[in-house]
Amino acid sequence: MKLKCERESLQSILHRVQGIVSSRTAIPILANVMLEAREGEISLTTTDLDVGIRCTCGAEVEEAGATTIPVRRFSGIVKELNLPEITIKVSEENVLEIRHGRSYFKMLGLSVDDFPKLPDFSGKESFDVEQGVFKDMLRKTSYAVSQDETRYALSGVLLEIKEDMIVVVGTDGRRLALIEKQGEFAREFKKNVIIPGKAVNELLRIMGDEGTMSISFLPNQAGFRIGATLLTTRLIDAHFPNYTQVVPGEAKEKVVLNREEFLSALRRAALLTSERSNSVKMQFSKRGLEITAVSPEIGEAKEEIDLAYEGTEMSIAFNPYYIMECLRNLDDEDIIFEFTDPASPGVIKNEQSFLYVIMPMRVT
Amino acid sequence: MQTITVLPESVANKIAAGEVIERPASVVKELVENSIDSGAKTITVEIEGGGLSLIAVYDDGCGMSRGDALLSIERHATSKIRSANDLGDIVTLGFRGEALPSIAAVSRFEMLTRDEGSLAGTRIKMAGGRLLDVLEEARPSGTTVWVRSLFYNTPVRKKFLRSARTERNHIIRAVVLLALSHGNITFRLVDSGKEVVYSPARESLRDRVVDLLGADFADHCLPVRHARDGVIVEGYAGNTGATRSTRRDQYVFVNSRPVASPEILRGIAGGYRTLLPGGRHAVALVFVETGTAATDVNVHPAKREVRFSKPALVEGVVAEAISRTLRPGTPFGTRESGAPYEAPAAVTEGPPTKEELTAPPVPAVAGEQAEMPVERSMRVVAQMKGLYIVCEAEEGLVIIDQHAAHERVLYERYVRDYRAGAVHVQSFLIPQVVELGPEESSIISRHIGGLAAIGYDIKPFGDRSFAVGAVPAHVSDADVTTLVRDMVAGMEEGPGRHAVSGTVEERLIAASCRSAVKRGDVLEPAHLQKLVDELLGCERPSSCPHGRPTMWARSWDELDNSFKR
Ligand SMILES: Nc1ncnc2c1ncn2[C@@H]1O[C@H](COP(=O)(O)OP(=O)(O)OP(=O)(O)O)[C@@H](O)[C@H]1O
Ligand SMILES: [Mg+2]
Repeated sequence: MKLKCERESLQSILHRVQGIVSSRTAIPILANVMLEAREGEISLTTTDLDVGIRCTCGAEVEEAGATTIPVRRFSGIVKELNLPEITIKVSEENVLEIRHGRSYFKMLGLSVDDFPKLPDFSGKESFDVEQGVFKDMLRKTSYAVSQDETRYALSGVLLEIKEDMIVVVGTDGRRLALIEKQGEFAREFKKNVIIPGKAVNELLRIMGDEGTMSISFLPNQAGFRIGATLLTTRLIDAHFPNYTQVVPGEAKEKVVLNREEFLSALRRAALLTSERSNSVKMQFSKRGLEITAVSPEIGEAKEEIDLAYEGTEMSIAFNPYYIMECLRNLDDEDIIFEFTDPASPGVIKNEQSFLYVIMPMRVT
Repeated sequence: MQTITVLPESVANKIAAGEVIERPASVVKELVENSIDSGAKTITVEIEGGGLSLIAVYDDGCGMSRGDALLSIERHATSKIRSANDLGDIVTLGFRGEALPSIAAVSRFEMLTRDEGSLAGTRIKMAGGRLLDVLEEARPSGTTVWVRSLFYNTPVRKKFLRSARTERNHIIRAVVLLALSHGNITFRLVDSGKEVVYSPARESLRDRVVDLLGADFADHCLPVRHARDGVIVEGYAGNTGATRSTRRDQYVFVNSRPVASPEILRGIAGGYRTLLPGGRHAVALVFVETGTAATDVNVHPAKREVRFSKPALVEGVVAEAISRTLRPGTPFGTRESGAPYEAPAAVTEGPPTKEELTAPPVPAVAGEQAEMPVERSMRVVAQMKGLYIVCEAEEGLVIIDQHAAHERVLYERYVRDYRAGAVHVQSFLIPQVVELGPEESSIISRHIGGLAAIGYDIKPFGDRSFAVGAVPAHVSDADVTTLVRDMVAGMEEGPGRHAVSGTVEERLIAASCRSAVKRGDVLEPAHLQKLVDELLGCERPSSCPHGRPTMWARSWDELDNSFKR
């Protein structure tokens, strides 16, 4: 294999594929990137067996071929070589050589035969979405995903595609973020899958705000094609809880809050919570909204927000971090906060079809 | 000097009873074993008052003729062996001819039995070992035994018994153990009219496990099957995610007999070596077949132990069996087969006690550890084995058990929060359903109120299932099933066993700490120092809430002495 390509393009696609490679993998070849040179292009592939990424850029290929080499070192070299173009040669024995001026590198690769194949989506039906829209949906839900691997079904976001609607849901069992988009996806497509959190994070990293992307499925895999990049992921084979059951009916009280103001008040109050005393009390009364945090061995904080409130006076406790994460990922000027009583879930909504359900806390 | 006399039969029986019949569960075990030996297809056990008021066992086995029935209540009357030679080849569960007379000696005893060949059944009534009446009565072939007022004539024994609840739990376990090893028989246990165990005859071991230990148990297990040098091991090994803080969920059988076998428990631990965090125990169901000649069952009065002719071999084969199941593809080590198996370097909680399997828990620690003078500050020098923290104090060298220390710190913190009314409780969107075994459900049902007080909202949710609606905020995302099971294991130890004396809630908190404890974690130096500082800030830093010591110390003088300085 022998080729010449722009250093900057190579570096940028290396950066894209590198994210999922763990430095401590038990299978050595998974620390490698696969290089495949074909007529006029080079493509790079990495995988951790769950998630795989392939990215392609143009190249002057003199001799086609394929190999795998340690991705970290390779990317270090590409980054440090201060040149517009790089020439790469790989021998039959998987020895890679880069020679330029007074620099010379030789690296030992491993044969592509041992590199896991990414699932093949060719010929599978796919559907297209606006990248910006899908990215926004993932951003507004993925933070709610469970970080605990033992709660397998919750360790990814639910992606549900119905005839004229796409729904994304993330939950860790204590709060749930849900977003729906109508219309744009009309197609004979029906799907209900759980995408692992890791794949979602990678997607958020590589998706742009412009242009369309296409999504296709195999029985236990999903593939996301974004321009010259393909991300594939294993799907979580588990039963996602019935989220419609969690969404509460009409709430008794409803207030409109300025998102920034609410967020910064919570952020300050949260400074005086602790691992164990991790709730803030939200008290709604004629005087407005009062947010307090009390930790026996630390101290207390109180924040007031002006609010014209005519409803029943009540005080409800929540984990402030759950609310903050939600607010941080919204862009709206104002949000709607709904609640019923201290034992029922609170709900945050915006003007679009976003919904966040959060279970209250109590102090015994 | 007194002259030697032969003890009257009634006294001898009472003495034998002391060894064979320790508690109501022993009666259940002996009677059910007799029914199994009699070829019964269905065995029903009824109890009242934890077995102290009534234990009745009905079977549809071969029954006895009038003559045999009268013989069966004589000491050393058995139909199962004829001579000492037969002792080497015992295929029945009973062989001593001691159980019935022993039970009859310490209770009001009745038996109604008929064999195929007799027209009428025989009812025998006894009290305190004395024969009161022998009557004729109709009965389909089979045997029923009623044992009432157990230990009424041995008040000392009675005093040692625990609450009816505890005795009931022991009975459940006894029935579950026998049912697990006899899949072709239908078992039923009824407590005061309520069915607590029902296990129909089943072809597959897995179905039986689901009936008796819950689907959750079965779902977390891998089938085990391995044989070498005449030792066959079969059963289930829990995956490494499903662990417990005690060995309660390791069920061990030898030649279809539930036993406590330190060799097999060591073999299990060996099979899991390096796979489990310190202080955790796998769940396992292990059936070992050695053939009757290689195992002596005549070593323990209640037949709870066995002696293997090759204990190291049995231990080794069990370890191999488990290891192969968990690490498919890698044969167990590279030792040639047959080479002696070395015992695992360390079993974190010391050698398993025989009691852990079939016997009542025995107080492990008599009382609270004597408080040793504790220093105000210590400097962490190192961490060893991900378990011990080596510290330098002003007075000398101190080694701290990281788990015990963490448990103590958490316990005092949680108790403080609880007393201050500051337990922050987080609800779930959808309650998490946990499925438990019959014994576990019975324990947890009793503690629902106390658990609510310390921040766990747990509600019964149908048969043996519980819905967990909220947990304290400090409980991390951890698997709720493991959490609840650990708590059950902790609670069951009961007041006598805990060094914690305090309210029910405080004991529950002690039980809940277990699952929160750091296990086998390699911690950053700063983290270790923080833990040590927090421990020194505790009210009772020198023992964990369960009474185990947290630290071990040697003064500089002692050190100097040992180096002859
Ligand atoms: N349920 C039963 N059905 C038929 N025969 C029985 C039953 N229970 C007891 N027997 C007969 O009575 C005899 C005495 O029973 P017992 O339990 O006292 O002794 P064992 O079972 O022979 O030995 P061990 O003392 O080890 O249990 C048995 O050998 C058996 O022949
Ligand atoms: Mg017997």
